[in-house]
Parts: sequence; C-alpha cells; structure tokens
Amino acid sequence: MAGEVELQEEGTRTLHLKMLRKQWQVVALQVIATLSLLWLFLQLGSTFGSCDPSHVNSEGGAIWCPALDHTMSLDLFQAILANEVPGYDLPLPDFFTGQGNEGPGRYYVPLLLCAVLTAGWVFLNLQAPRLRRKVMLGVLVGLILFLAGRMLIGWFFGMLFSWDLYWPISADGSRNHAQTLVYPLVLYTQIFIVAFYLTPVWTGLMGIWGLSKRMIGWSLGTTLVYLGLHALLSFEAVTVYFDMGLRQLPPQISDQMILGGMVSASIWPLLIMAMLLLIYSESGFAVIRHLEYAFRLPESCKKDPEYVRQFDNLLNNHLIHTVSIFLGVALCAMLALNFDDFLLGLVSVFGSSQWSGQVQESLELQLTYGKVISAMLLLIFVAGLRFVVPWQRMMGLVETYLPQLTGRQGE
Amino acid sequence: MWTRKAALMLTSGIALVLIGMMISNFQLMVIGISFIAFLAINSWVTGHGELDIVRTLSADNLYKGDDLYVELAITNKARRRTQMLEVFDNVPHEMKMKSGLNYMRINLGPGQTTRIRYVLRCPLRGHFSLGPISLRHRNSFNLFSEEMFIDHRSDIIVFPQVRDVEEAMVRSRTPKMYTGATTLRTPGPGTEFYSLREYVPGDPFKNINWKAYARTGELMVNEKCRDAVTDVFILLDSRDVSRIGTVLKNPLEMGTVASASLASYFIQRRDSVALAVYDERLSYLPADGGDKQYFKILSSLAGVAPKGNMPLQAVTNALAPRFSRGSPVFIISSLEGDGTVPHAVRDLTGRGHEIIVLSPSSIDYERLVSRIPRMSYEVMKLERQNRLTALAGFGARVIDWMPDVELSQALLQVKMM
Repeated sequence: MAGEVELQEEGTRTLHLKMLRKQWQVVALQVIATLSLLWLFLQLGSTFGSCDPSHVNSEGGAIWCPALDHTMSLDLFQAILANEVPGYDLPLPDFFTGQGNEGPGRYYVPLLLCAVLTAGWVFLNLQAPRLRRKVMLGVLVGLILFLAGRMLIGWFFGMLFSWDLYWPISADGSRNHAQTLVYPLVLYTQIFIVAFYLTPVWTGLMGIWGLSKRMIGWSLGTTLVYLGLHALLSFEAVTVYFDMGLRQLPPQISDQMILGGMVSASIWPLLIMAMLLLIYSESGFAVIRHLEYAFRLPESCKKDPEYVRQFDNLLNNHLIHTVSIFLGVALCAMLALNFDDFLLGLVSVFGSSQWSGQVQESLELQLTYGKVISAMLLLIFVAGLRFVVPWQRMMGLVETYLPQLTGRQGE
Repeated sequence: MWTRKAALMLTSGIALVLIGMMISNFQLMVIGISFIAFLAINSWVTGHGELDIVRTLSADNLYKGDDLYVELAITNKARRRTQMLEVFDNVPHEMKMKSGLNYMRINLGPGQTTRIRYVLRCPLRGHFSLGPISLRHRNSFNLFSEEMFIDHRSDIIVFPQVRDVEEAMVRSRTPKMYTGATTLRTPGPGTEFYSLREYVPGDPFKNINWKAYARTGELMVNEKCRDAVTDVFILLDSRDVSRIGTVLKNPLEMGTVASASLASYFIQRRDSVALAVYDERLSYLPADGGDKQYFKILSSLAGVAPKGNMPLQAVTNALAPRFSRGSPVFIISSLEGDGTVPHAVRDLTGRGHEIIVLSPSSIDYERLVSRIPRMSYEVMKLERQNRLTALAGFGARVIDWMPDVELSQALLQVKMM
C-alpha cells in the first residue's frame, strides 16, 4: 500500500552504550545481580566456610580442609613459612585478607578489594584501546620488575663491586641474590590464594559490570563446581575412605520452621543460595543480552524514539518479572519442599482409619524420597495452573483500563 | 516451544535432584527443585502474536536505484502483553537496507502501537514482494519461544532506469526521421479541437461542452483532431546469453535501460511504441501511446529475465504482419550466438523499415567478471566487429555499445557511423 511514510525520528534519548550504562533500569539490574552475587558468596561462606568441628589434630588445633575459607589456607601457608623462618608474617596485612576474623568478617575486605579491582578494570575497558594496552603492559612490567628487578639489580652491582662473574644462587649470603625473590613470590602467592577463593566474586563482578558473558559463566561454573565437590567430598560413602574434614550438611530436615512455618530452618539457607544463584545469573545475563541488542542496532535506530520506547518496555518488564517471578519461584519452592507435610496433614483429616494411619507413619513419605516426590507433584500442578488461571489476561485488563481510569492513553 | 536454555535447566534440575538424593545432599536437591520451580512459574508467562500489522510503502512502483520508504505499524490487539516479541519484516535479498532496520524487539501492552521505519535501496529491477512478517515471542528469561508468520505482503515493481536520450536523437543524422505528433483532419484522440457533436452514451464526461449544453439545452461533446503518430518497434534480446557480465552490468540490464529510455522518449513525443521481448518465447506488447502504454512497457521490462535461445528471425517472421509500414525498428541485442540476425535485418530493411541495432558489447561485459587473454579478446572483438559491419552492410544503423558509455553517448554513434 503506497502512502505517506515518515522518516525515522530522532529523539533526545538514544540507545548508545554510553547512555544505556547510566539508564536506571540497566543499573538496577546490575545492582540486583551484584547484590545477589555478594550475598550468595557470603551465604556460601557461612554454610560451607568451616570444617567439621571434630577435624582437629592431636593438640586440638584445627586442621586445614577444603572449606570455602581463604583465611584457612593463608594460615596454613603462613605456618609453613614460619617453620622455616620463625615469626614470619605474610606481606599483606591481616586487615586486607581477613585473617584472624571469624564468620562473614573474613570476606568483607577481600570483597571490597574485588569491587575496587572490578571498578578499575571496567574503567580501563572504557578507555581507548591504545591506552588500555599501555596500562596493561605497564602493570605487567611492574609485576615482573617487582619480582625480578631487585634480584637483577643486586646481582649486577654485586658482580660489578666484586669484579667477578657468578650465579645469583649461592651458599654465600653476600652472593645469594635469589633471596630477594622470596618477598614478591610470597606476596603473589598470598594474592593468588585470596583470588582463587574469591574467583566467583571477581569474575562475576567483572562479568556484570564489564558486560562479559564468559566471566559470568566462569563465576557460575566455579560456584557450581565447588558445590559439587563439596557434596562429593562430604558424602558419607566417600568420607569413610577419604575424609577431608568438610562439615556435612544435615542429612535430615530439621523440624524447626521459620517464616510462619513455611520452610524448615535448615532448608532456608540452601534455598536462599539456590534463589540467589538464579537471580544473579538471570539478571547478569539479561543486562548483557539487552545491551548487545541495543549495541547492534544501526545508528538511525539507536536515535529512533520508537526503538528507545520499546527498549524501555523490555527493561521495565524484565525488572517486574525479576521481582514477581522470583518471589513466585521462592514461594513455590518453599511450598514444594513442605508439600509432604501438607499431604500428611490432609490424610490426617480423614480420621483414624487404617489407611490414614499407615500413610502418616510411612517413612517413605517423611524422608527424602517422599519429600522430593511430593515436591515434584506440586511443581507439576503449578505448571499445569497456567491452563486454569488466566492471570496474564487479568493483568492485561488491568493494564488496559488503568490508564483510562487515570486519564492516560496507551501509546 | 522450549528453548535450549529451558531444556538444559530441566535436565540439570532433574539431574541435581537425583544426584542430591543419591548422595543425600540437600543443597543439590534444593537447587534442582528451584530450577524446576523456575520453569514451572515461567511457563505461566507466554507471549502472543495477535497483532494488527499495516505496512505502508512510499511507492508501489519505482525506478531501479531509487529508495523505498517502508513503515510497519504494529498494534497489539489482544488484552494481554506481547512479552518480548521479535518482529522481522522479510525483505527481498535483492534490496539493500539503506537506513533503519527491518527488525525490532518490542513489548507492547494491550492496545499499544509501535512503528518500524526503514529505507530500502532497490539496485535491481524486477517484481518484488515485501513480507511475510516473521514473529518470535519469548518470555523475559528466554525459556520458551514460539515462531510464527503474519502473511502480510506488499508487491512492488522496480522499473529499469530511464535515461535522457533526447539530445542524442536530435543530433541523429535524420532529425526528421521520427515525425512525432502531426494533426490529421479526422476526428479521434488528440489535442486540437475538431467539432461539436451530440452526446452518446459512453462518451467521457470530461469531453462534455457545458457551455454548449447551457446554450442548446442538449448534451454536446467536443471532438478532437486525431494525432498521427509514428509506430516505433523495440525488439529486446533476453536470451540466456544476455546475462554475461555482472548482476548490475550485463547486456540484458543495459538493454532494459535502453528500451525504457527509448520508450519514454517516443511516448513523450506522442508516438506509439511496441515492445517485443524474446527469450525462450516471444512476448509482444502492441504499439500504443500514452501513460498506460508506458506503464505496461516498464512493467514488462521489470519482469524480463535471461532465459531461452529464440532466434531473431523467428521473432521478425512472427511480427512481420504487425510491423507498420516504414516504421523504425530498434533491435537491442548483444548479437551473440544467433546466426539469424543478418537475415532478419536484411528482411526488415528489405521491407523498408529503418533498423537501428543497439548492441551491448558482451565481450567487454565478460571482461568485467573474468580474465580474457589479450589475444583471445582481440580475436573475439574482431569477430564482433565483422558481425556489426555485416549488419551495417544490410542497411542497418549499428551501435557498438561499450559498458562504460552512457546511452545518450552511444546513440550519438548513429550519426558518426
């Protein structure tokens, strides 16, 4: 159909990355992802960050175990060095590494350092490629010089003053320049240990704010791998032969209930971690997905108010879904994990018949298998509800008539 | 439809639950159950494609190289949100996106409308169709998606370019060869007044002379003097051999440009123009004048594609009864692979037609796409020159049209030869 076709308009707001990075919906999603990640790590630390209390040596001292606690490894490292040089202190002060603290206090400063590192990295990525290369090169050269510079200079001047050619490693203290390598090596090892334990955090932060799917993938991957390893190494059949001293999760769900009896106190932190994992991954990836779309648009579309309006719609809707759906998921998971109790309660309503008595006393329904099977039943029921409850249509009706009531017209 | 992510989430959820049960680890079980709960809740949120889509084009017909402005107005006619909906307007691959984009991710509330605007460049002539519109909706977390089409199409015709040839023709050796419109003292279609006559049913209202009606009280119509016109015949070679060269530069493309330009020129001069296109069969458009004929010629040229191998003599034999006496005939052909051309030209000149052969040099077009050894090129060029000379010997005016020469310049060669 031929007719008057208007040209693309140009609005004041555009979909350029520079502007989108400051848009409140984008920042909100990034903040949600960041908070989820940090909370997830702290929760992981409080759940998996300590060894089994019985894992002590003959003198009653705690033995190292692969718990999610970097201070334990730093203590071990320090102890090894102190065996060689009594009273040796690691180069980084305890304040930075969290050594000597208990509970979440072990993580606060390292997490802050991760945030600073990420901010620097993101800021660097926003600079021109030439400057970025120069800074990266400068940092690398600085690290190498810090490692080997003192040794090379000392060795050179040593040879110059003694007017002799010799190797830098020698039993003679005045000719042993290799000892200058110890301090930087220990420092690097200390940083490596902290960075290794905090891999999910710094990779995740770099992924969220540096818009890198690969980094978020690494963060999620390392978290899941750790959970898997912990589950395996704390499995009873494994610990019989190979006990690393990890603290096991309780094999049974406690009867102590919280949130008005909706969830067991022992399940709650686990559920929190699962939810945070989901919120973090979905929000982190969503930001990148949306910005990738905006980035790939041609210049004329980036300035077109229609594209901007629809992009806003996409982000707003994503934010609404992030809140509503994750609340729904948390509620659904809680109900699912408690559904066996509900079933038992329902059976008890039928009185004291032989059947209800047998069901109530059935161990299968009360133990893990029963819990999981009943949870699955509820989830199938919830999934089927979409055919019963037309809630999207109801929301649509509200959306249609609400602007009319408030005097605004739909665009 | 489940996306790969959803399938992965379900399988990993089930796997985590099973592994958690096997090793009595509640953490894995809870993660697994959360994954499945995430899918279950998300399955409630589905998009839809109940849209009203109207495509508006700046023109239904345009010339090769012109820009086409397209606007797609999309309205959500359902009473629920579309969720994330990807709209993709299918565009013929022959067209190039000049500005804007034929794709948008939208999320429309009930009754809301949005517009996609883009500009297409049409570098190739032809009959094209925009559409259908592809839709894909998915939920916010990219777990479920569905693809569909809205079969809304818009047809457009891209005519060959029309070049200005007037200057060239004025300078031709026989400036009075094409007489153009000359009035005859007989009634018929024309411009000059001839007489008044009574209205008969079927006469167009625009011909009614209202003053005469007011004066006489009877409906009277104006009659015009019939304009005499020259019939011009254009024979366009669209055989398979005419595709030699690039997509944009080949004997057929140049031929369509020449045909359209000549038709435009003569129709503007109020002459009648007939067009015959021969490929695997003969398509003939009888001689006529006016805008309608011009449109028919351009439409016909827009749809021309290289195919077949019909000899020119078969064309001239078939059209012989339709050629007006002494009318000029333009033969636009690369003259390759057709041994009947000299005979056909000889027959036409014998019948008193003015023959002009406009021959795009196919050897030079071939050089645009493949390397021809110098010696071979020289030999082929010589052969071609001999062919052209032979045609000139039969009384035709022959134009050897090189790829880098404008049509108006090429037509000047009529004078020079």
